Amino acid sequence: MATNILEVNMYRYNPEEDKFPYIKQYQIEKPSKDIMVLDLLHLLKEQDESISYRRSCREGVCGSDGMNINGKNGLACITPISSVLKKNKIELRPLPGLPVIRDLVVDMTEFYAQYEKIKPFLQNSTTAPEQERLQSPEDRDKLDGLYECILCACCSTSCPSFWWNPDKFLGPAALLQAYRFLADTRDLKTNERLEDLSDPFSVYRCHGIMNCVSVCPKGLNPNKAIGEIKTMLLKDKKEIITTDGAMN
Amino acid sequence: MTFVTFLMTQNRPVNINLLKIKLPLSAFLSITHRISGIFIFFIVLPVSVFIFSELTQSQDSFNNFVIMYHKNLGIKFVCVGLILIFQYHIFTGVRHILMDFHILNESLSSSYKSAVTTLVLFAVNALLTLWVML
Repeated sequence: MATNILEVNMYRYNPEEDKFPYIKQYQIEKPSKDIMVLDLLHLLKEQDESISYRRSCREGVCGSDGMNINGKNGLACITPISSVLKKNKIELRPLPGLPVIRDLVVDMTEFYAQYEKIKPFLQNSTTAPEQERLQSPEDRDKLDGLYECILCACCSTSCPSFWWNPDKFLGPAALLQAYRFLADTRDLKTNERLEDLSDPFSVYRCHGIMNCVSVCPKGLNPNKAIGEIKTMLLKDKKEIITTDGAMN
Repeated sequence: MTFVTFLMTQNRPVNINLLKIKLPLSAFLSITHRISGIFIFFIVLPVSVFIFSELTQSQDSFNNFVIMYHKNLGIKFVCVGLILIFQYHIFTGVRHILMDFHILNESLSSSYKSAVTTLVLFAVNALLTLWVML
């Protein structure tokens, strides 16, 4: 009967009681059908109600329950336990690199601060038309794979460059959104946006590790967006050089 | 004091156990590329410049070094090692350049394929280098 028992190792930390975080082991009977990791957490909470984690929509839309599941970041609500289970063992840890508030709950302040830096809103000072700013279908297609991000922080917290410089390197999530507005034909502040990204840290700390692509629960590709931003920055520089040359 | 600044002042733990976090193969290449870069700058470059300056002192010093190189297995291994690290840096670096120029597709699968290809090419190249130099 031993194969019917699931072993769950969970990162536990309660700032009011514990000086250091520790791993607590739980045994739970294996459910008859395949359930999501979030459902497993609910079952564990029946055993031990002191377990803390974030959850809201439970269907991969809100991005609250990002966590490190058996070493890989993901949303607990859309990760079936069958896809992560190894020898009936599962290890749950908070998102790496961000300060832990309690158990699986992390403080996302740094993550949101980077998102704020890229000015995640449409900037267009021309008079708005009566109904809406129109785009050609081709221009609209450029936003596919960019706008779907739910800001769950799985990518940025799996990125060694972001662990290293969480204050200076924007991280994959913010950069994906930066490119979302650079690629938008309705946004007119492209040059200012590129100017803000041109320092050595914001974009260029990305070294193609690709963990962001590997973990993204929505199947997006921040690495590709970062590559496009790098190309745009290069083209931007070239234009500046030629205009300077023309003036001389 | 706002809630946020209160949280920032707390001494809170961070989950950053590298042994427990999975990284793709391209992470291994990227990280070792950077480590080899540091190694080249601080060790390979100064040692190479030193050897080169020794070699160009005179005809005798050149001959002496050649004799020493063939006699002393340690010196041989150090030289081969320095060259292999330099070559590794070049191979992984070219992969990064190809990615930056969008010549290699930036999807996860093609990144894995290019990482494996880079490692295989480097292994072949390392064998050839060892064959020529030892």
